[in-house]
Amino acid sequence: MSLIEIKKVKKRYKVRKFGKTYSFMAVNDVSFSVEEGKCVGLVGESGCGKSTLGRLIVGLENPTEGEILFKDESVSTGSDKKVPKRLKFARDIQMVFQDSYDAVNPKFTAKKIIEEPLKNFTDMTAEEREKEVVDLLHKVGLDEKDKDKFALEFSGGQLQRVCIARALASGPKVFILDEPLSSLDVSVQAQILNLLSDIKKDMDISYLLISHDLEAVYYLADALVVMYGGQIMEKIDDISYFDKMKHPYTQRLLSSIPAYEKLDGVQENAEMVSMDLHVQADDFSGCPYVGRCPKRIDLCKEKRPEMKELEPKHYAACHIL
Amino acid sequence: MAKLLEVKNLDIRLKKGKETIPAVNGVSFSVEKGKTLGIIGESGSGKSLTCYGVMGLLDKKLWDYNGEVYLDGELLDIKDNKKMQKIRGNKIALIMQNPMSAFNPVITIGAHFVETINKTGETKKTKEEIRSKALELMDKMRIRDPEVVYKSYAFQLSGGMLQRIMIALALVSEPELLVADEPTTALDLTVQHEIMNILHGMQKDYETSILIVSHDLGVISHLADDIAVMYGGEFMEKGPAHKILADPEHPYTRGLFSSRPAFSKERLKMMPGSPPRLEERGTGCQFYGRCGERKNGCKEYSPDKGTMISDREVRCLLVDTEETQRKLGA
Repeated sequence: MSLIEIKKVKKRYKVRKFGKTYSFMAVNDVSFSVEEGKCVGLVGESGCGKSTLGRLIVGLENPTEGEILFKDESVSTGSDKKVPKRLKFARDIQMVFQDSYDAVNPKFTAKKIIEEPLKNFTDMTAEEREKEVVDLLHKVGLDEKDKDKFALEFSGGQLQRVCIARALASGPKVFILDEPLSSLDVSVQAQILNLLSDIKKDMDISYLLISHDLEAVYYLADALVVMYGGQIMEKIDDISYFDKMKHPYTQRLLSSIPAYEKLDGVQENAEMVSMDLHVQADDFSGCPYVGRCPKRIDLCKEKRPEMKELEPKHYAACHIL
Repeated sequence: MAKLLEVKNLDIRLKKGKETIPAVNGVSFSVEKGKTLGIIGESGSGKSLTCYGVMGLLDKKLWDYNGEVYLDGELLDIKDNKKMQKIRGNKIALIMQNPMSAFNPVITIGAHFVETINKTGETKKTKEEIRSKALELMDKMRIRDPEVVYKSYAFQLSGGMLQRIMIALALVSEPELLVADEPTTALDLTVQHEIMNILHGMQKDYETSILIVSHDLGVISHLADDIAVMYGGEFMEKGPAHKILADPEHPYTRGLFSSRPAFSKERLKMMPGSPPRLEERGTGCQFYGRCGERKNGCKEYSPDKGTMISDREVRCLLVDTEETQRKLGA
């Protein structure tokens, strides 16, 4: 059963630049689902809309079009902004952020940080909460005596553990992990990756792992979504199809990773253009990747490729595939 | 091969009141002409400090540093800012980590080129000469529309573009050594790949030596001819890249390599704990607290130099045994 279902979600932002207002699609017609107990990896470069999508799911922002369902119920508040519907789902959908030092109140001790969701969502007494905090600290590999430390007394990896404990406190069904590793050292990244994989197994929590680090995503993910310019380029529902991914953008992404050597005959430096915002403009109807794609044809500029099934569990949006 | 840069016993200490805390403990290394030395390590291991120490860029109020730095056989006075200024930008150029904050926001990219050339060059050049030189270099860095870029301000350009301009700026005076401090960390994956290719191609064209610092094993393995693995202000292992990558000797190097998933789903072998902070460092082997293979004597193990195993230097008691000594002697 799918826990989170994202249906044709669009998010439009308006930017003012030199007195003119431009609007662009940060997320454009994205649909996929997160199955229960599974981890979906969401990869792409900065500015591709992956974090916006994370914020949409948690309910921090509302989609312009489309809807996001959690257990068949819509997450977004829609037009009625007075009702913070987000709180209804906050217990079930929790987020872990990139920079743990920014994600906690520096005046709080670890105990207070982890206790907050317990206060908000449960009727535990003070003693029960204290016991629960210690339990959670043990679960994420910290010590009981750490509970009285302040945020700045922890190292980056330890504080990320505290953040994970806080997210666990309300007993969630889904974790939205927004680049949980990128501010950490390599050896600490490995520890957090192992911790996340243990939590997923032991507590049956589904993940949406947003990251630019394909290597780490491969380690945790059961399914993979590749985004570019606000749209999904390629999607596999089973990570075992990883070696078969063949969208030109995915290929480029893979060929950029020194550690990934399975791919042969990939294009070297087709053309070096950074992502242009105009491909996300409202009136642009082509494929967002057209500017950098070495295999483009004329049709790519005019028509947006539809998502099609290449084989079971493997989808891609590309005219030439 | 001739050694372009040779550093002997570089020692950097942080001043704290009357005491000083060691940050880099007497490292020695050399970079050969036209080759790349990659320093890899986690944050706080002293990689960047080593770079800044070599260039004489450390604040003397904060840091106490000593050591001999030879460039092309000539001893540099790294403590004399005025003398170093003639060498920096001219013979040694630096590429910094965050391109977004390395540029002056109120002057154009073109003005950066003018400033760099006029400050480092011996003769002043006209604006036209500088412009054509800059455009030529930017073209080599595969920047589209270099003329538009020349007139732009830093905030109008993307991070990858600025990093390419920073490399172009560094190359303007044709330096012999390029110091790159985490040149790709702030960039996207595909852009990182492009920058690495540019550095590689540039080295071929100009025969520049590169000292590159990174925490990313992928970047180092792609670019470096020699690798130095740094931890707690000391080199744990140093030697030719292909040998270290294929067969790491030091437990820390092994731990570092196995921390990356490398496209498998197998559980990661992890090192416990995190790198020590400056104040937490002890004497003896810096890696002692996290090492899974430690034994008696490791805690006090603090040799002046690592053990040489053929052409690589390893600083570990497990390697520094009578047995290996005998084998090496034979």
